[in-house]
Amino acid sequence: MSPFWIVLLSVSAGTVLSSVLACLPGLHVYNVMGAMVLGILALEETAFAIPSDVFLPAMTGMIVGWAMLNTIPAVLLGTPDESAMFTVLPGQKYLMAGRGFEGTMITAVGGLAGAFFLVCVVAPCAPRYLPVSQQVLKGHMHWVLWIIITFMLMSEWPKGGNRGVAGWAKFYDAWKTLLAGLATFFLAGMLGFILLTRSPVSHEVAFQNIMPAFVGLFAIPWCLLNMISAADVPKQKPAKSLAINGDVILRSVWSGGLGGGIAAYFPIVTGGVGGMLAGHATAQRDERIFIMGQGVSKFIYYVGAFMLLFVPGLNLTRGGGAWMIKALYTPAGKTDYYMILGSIAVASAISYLMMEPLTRVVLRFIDRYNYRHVSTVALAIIIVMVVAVTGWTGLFIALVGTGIGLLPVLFGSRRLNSLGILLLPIACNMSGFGEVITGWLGLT
Amino acid sequence: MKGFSHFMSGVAVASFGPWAIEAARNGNPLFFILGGACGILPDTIDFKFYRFFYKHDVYVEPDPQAPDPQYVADEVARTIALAVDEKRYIRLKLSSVRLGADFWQQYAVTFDNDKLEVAVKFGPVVNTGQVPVEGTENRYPTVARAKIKAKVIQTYDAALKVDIFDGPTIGFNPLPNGDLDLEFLPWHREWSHSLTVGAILGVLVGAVAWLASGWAMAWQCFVTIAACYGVHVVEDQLGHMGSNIFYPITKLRTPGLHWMHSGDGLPNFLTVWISCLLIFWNLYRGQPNMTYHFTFLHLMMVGLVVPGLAFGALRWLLNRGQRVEVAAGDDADDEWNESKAAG
Amino acid sequence: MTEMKEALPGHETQSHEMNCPKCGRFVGAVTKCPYCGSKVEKRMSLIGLRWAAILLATIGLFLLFLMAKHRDVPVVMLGNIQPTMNFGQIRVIGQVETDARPFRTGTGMSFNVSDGTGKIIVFVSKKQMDALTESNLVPKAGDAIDFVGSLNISDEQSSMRLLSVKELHLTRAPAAAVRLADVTTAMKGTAITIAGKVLDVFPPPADSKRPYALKIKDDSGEQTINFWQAEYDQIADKDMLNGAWVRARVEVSTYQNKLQLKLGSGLDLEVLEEPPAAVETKTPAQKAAAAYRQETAPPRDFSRGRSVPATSLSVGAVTVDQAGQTVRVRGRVESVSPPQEGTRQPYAVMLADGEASLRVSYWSNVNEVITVKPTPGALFEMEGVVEVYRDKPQLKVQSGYKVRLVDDTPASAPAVDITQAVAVSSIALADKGQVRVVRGTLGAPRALRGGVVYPLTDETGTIDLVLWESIIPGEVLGALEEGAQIAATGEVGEYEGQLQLKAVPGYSAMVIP
Repeated sequence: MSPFWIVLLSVSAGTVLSSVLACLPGLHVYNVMGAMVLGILALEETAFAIPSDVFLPAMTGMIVGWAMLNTIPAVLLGTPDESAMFTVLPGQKYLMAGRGFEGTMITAVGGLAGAFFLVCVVAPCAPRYLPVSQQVLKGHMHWVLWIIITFMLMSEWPKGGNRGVAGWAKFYDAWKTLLAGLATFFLAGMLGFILLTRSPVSHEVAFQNIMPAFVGLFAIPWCLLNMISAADVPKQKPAKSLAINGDVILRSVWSGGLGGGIAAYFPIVTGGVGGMLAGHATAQRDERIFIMGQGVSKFIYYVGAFMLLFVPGLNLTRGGGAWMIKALYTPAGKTDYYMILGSIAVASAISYLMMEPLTRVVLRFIDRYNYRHVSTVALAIIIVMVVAVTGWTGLFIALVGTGIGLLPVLFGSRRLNSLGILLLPIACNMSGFGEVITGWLGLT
Repeated sequence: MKGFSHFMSGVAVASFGPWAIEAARNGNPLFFILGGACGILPDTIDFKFYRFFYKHDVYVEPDPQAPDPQYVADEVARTIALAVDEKRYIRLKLSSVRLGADFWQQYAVTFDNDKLEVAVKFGPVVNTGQVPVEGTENRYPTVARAKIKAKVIQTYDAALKVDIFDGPTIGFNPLPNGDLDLEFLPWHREWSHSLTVGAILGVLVGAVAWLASGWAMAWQCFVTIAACYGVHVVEDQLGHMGSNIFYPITKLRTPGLHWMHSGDGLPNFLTVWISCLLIFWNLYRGQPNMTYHFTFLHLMMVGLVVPGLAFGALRWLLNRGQRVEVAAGDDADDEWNESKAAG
Repeated sequence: MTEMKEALPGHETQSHEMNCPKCGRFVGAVTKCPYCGSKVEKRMSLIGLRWAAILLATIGLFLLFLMAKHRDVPVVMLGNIQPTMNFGQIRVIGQVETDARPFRTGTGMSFNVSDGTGKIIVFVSKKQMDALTESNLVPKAGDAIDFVGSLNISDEQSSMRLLSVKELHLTRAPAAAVRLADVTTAMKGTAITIAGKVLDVFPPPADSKRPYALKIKDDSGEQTINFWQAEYDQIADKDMLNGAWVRARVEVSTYQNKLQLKLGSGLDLEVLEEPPAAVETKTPAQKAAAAYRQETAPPRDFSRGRSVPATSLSVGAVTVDQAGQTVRVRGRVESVSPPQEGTRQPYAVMLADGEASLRVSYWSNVNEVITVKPTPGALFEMEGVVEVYRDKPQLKVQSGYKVRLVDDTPASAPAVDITQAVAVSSIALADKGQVRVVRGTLGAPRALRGGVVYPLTDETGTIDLVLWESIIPGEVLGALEEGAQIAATGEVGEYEGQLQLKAVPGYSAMVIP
């Protein structure tokens, strides 16, 4: 079979697989890819060894499919309980207004727009300009992380303190949520120091060192809150049109592209942080632009970070997917780059086309099945996955992460603060005083 | 201007100090952190500290279950009467009305100096993005009015809209002619947005730095803090509200230049983006052994002009023949709302 | 919300707990109504979750911290590293293959480590590099190293990042003491120890990139040691260098095809109180062992692997009845036969002990790992499995770590030739610098910094016998005591007007039974 068909079939298979898996709540594509990497390594010197022109496009398809379609569970399978949570996320607003279908489809349009932007604008310019910026920014990444941390912590808005007479009581009422945010950040940072210096996870599966913590910080709290939620999903009304135009798409690409680009390019900065920064930078008021921009940002973050590994002359590894590929394969020049770009384009088209039917399937599903039970099953799957890969130690780490991840949701601060798990220790290490801190803690 | 714009401006100003680049190359992020933090600090002081201790004379707290515009109008009128009768500065707090985690009852207060009236109307329910909830526009069609004892002079157009998170504070300052000067958010930029305060802060931190690390660190900290704090003050002067620039030497806010609204998308983005380009340029100048070389003009063309033109052209193509309305910010409560919405 | 005309979007499916039970106003997630001040009861699951969050985030984190803090980082052989270990923290025990090289940008350094099963490059950050430099722990080729690092595995090249300077343990490779005249460019890349008197120190011209030049002289010749400002700043007593006796560990290098001796760290230059002892001439076995020592780390700990009897057997004690057992044998190497080129034969070593001999064999991969290769005349200890071949026992060594040099002094060479002994009274100032053998009785010892002095008395007189720890084996020093009858070989010297005999390096003193 010619390489063209091998790549085409591989990318299609990867996209379809991850698009379906993306509908399962709590499952991250990097977990699935991690399992795939183990399988590829096991088969490496056997008759069933998987060649790179199969697993590279397949994994590309997986990342694209997941980046496009994981909006579905994020929007449709999470009902905000206003008696428990302080804020309602933008996607959840659409769900509560009965417009869940519209919300997911607008995000999907954002993803597709992001794909166009990535393949047609970023990809041609990247080999020319990114090496330049790499050289200029060499040695400066540490303070970029520090200013992101500074802005993250300083820009959080107090949720309370809106009523009552002036004084310390009012001040405390306002600062309760901010203190919860700071506590979340520093506790997560402490967890990060432990895992990056003396991880209790066995070294044999160290490539999934952080996975239990991330599962604990984000996925498990989501499942738990759904399980105990006292709110039901309102009746959903699938829309016939999305009421968007080219201007909305363009501004979404502008806003989301900036956020996703920051997250893809700078180490440790995730899509959420990039989206926050871009949202502040572009000051868009339109909610459609906000939602669509999230789709753009998510796509560019996951897929763009992966793509950077293949940019000729750059040699930049960003994102979990790229790190996993790097252990298996070293990109070699333009051929690989074009193959990846082609795979991204094909996978984007396939996953976008799958968006509507899968959204309708999930809508019918949530009509029929209680989302709390779905979340319970998802939680069970997550726990089994954590134990299977990292053992009981990993489960304990996930539990600790769960405690920390629940703090912002239950006590009114930003979930972004949980990213202190990576931001704080890595910023300290990059600045050269990480070892001083771990020395004080007795970890080194 | 939005917080992030101020923040990045501060980082950009800090990057002009060669000591900041040198320290960063040696693993010390201090000056860039100081730059960003001081860039955003004036607003942080006001919105996250000072306003909780700012005492009010009158609190208006509409009932979420039965919003009564007449109550609001009467209280506003009473406040004005208090200011006129007691001939002193009176502070009025208009509290927001929360209906849900994402829902707020909006209401507007308008002064009619010709009729010597204040009019209050409860508008639609809005979400935290200040987008009206469909079907709630006419829940409360009544416009309540109350007579006021003096004219209320507003130096800028301000339809006082109260909606998300915290409600605004209004200050009524009696003028010699008997009128009242309306100050929006009197606690904001009362003293925090001042070049002298920035310099004093720089001196204080510099003194600590001198004790810890010596003279060089001290003056570098001073210059960084004073400059980055000052750039926030300068940027805010481009808007409407203005600042008390030389507090404590000056007593009142100096009105802004009215060149922009603090929430305008394009000026904010341009500030952030140009700051990034300036930072990039300064880093480039301070990076030894560069194999790539470019001029400032080249950087601006590639980083700003060409993409800007391409974006503009694309936008024009997409919007040809259509009437596109981008929501314009209100002058006075603009920054207030932008700051809250950013939370 | 009861007075609302219609419920707001989503509120029709929300719980009543979001409203105050007393006044009915929206309160959300708070537990006290901001309007009427009444308590807002939340359901047990939510309360439980809040408490669980706080406890897990604090106590749970603390327990996790304790777990991590007391965890031993596992030792992993480099050959066993798998891609799934990426980002893992492991301990590596091995040998430094290349001198640590600072990056041109000054942002850190790197060095290569191998442990016999594989090799890896290790990166060190700038702050760690500064700390290592300050404590003279910058790894050099041949040093034994034990460190903890985190793995970075890619398809192309795997590397490690040093996790902590505190957990880096370095044992310097012994640098053979060499006379100045014997230093040649053939030694390039090795570390050696030289000693002598400083003739002069020439600083570089201002604003020049040239190094300092320290001219040093011993009785065989002169050499120049080069170092830069950073190393000069580290030298203790640098103001007293001129005319002082020094010992230095230097790296032999070349510059523009000429010999160059480079001082790696100012802490490697030691100012001596006394002129150093002369460097002895080595036997072939000693030279071979010394040459290997320059390249490789000292012998490794034998405690790894299966447990064997603590004491080793003599060659004659190995019998066919022990077939299949693992034993440790000590004997002198009679011969070493490497495999013929192009064949897959094993190495064959004959160990002897008196009349008995034993054939020892091992494959090439075992030989690669042996630190000091067996040479004829040297005393070795080897551990292996006893096999029977043609009704005779032989030893099959399976691990190069189990082959250890015990003593490289040839058994045939007596430590001291007593027949050459002269009377103490016959030694005069004119004999200064010459070697004499004496025998007599030791008096009360006097401690020196780095050595010991015994007055030695025979029938004709008394002379001080000086033994420096750096050149006399510990077992020799340990055997000496007040009242012992000994014979010693030493170089005639003078100190404060008194004649003395400085024991020559090696087994230059022995107790006469």
